Amino acid sequence: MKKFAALLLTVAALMGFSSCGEDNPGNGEAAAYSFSFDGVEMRPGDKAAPVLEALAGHSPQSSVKASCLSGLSGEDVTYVLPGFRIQTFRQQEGDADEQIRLIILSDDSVATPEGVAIGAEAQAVKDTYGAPSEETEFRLAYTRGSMRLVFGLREGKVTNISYEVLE
Amino acid sequence: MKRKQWIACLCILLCGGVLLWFAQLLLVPKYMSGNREGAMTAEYYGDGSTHDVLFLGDCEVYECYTPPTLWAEYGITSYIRGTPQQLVWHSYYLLEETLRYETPRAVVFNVYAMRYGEPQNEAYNRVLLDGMRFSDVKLRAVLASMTEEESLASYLFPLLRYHSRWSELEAADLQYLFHRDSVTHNGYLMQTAVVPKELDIEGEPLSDPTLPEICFAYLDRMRELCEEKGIQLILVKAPTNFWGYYWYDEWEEQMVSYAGEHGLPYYNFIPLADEIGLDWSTDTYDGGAHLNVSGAEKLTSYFGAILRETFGLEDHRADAELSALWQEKCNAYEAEKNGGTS
Repeated sequence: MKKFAALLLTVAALMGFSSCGEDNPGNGEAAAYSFSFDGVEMRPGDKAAPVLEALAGHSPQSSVKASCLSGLSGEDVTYVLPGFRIQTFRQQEGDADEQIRLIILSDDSVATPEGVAIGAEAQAVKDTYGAPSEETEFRLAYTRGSMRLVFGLREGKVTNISYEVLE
Repeated sequence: MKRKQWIACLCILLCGGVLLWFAQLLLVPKYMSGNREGAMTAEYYGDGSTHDVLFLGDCEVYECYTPPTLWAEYGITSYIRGTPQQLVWHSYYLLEETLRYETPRAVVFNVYAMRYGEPQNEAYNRVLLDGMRFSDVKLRAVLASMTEEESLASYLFPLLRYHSRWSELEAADLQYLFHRDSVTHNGYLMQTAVVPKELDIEGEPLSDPTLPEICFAYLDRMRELCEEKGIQLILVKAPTNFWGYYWYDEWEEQMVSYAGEHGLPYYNFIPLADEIGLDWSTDTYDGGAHLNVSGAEKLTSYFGAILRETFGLEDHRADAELSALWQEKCNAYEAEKNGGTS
């Protein structure tokens, strides 16, 4: 009887863990990596408006990428903030669906929430994030769901960090 | 089948062919307003004259060098066969085709396209390839350029691609049924607006800084073709360096190395912007991605001196016939500049 009760408890516990996992974004996959600045959390794929509104106090400057071919729909926009940039895609100015495509950490005044900043050793990245999904001479990439966290490398050191949306 | 039936069949086929031809003329985009870039490739065939210098490349040639300025200041004749996002294989086939019409003294190739190892978008193929005259070069260009979604048939019979435009037809489709207006000045697409560059931002991180092998393979072919014809090939990088069209140090190293290895002159104008006299608050029409006419004239003036002093291109301004031809071109150029079309 005790064995049966123990078995029941184990099954119940496993089901409990399993249902917790379903709360994660990406239908059971690990949660996407996010970047956080001044209490504002953001990740590629998020709508840009609430994030930019929350960061308005930092007066982000923006630059629109003009297409070489007139008439192509949509435009890329970069918003420059202290230590990082947010790159978005929108149909036109004021587009409510403007989406974050890329977050680029541009200097070591900011770091990932896990504590890695530009200038870190490649090994420190692996120690923090584990085995990468992709490893080349030039980068370590960690894919989660529809996003990827990338550490650009030169001579074994992190030279850039970016959160990218996957197409 | 009786003779009358044969004739009837032939007449039906002929009428069908004429109708399809007419439908194609009507439905293909005319590119006379909006995206005028689509009219640039075909415009070359109407020029008729020969040129000392042929420019090849993407928007970094057709927005950065002005043939009328090169003529007015140096008496050098030139044509820009540029199109948006012109890839290296596009440039190679345009060069091969152009050499069937003329043999310039120098070919100037802008290296920004070396970054792309694959076709990016059908729209960029269309604006270049649809405008090319039918020839074996065009066929090879299409085969080298098509994305997976495109078909050779749609380039041979553009009606297959554009048949659905019937619902978007406008007056211009009738107006330009049999002719096109000129949209450029020997390939230079004028932009007169001023939108200052306010931010200096680097490009997005590169996943691999190595320029694609296929680009070097086509550049080799361009170099060999120029050598064969005794043409001086000159590599350039426009002075613009905008985050969305960024030129990385790693790419620069590879181009310097290629040029050195093959004894080719290579001019990267990015670090020379001050010497050229570019002012990013007045010389760009889109925040620094491209030069406007004021910036293009400054760069052309600077580059013209190089063409004259380093490559010995002669001054044709004493040639009465050429002078008359170019005077007309310069007048049209000044008229558009003063009219402020952008």
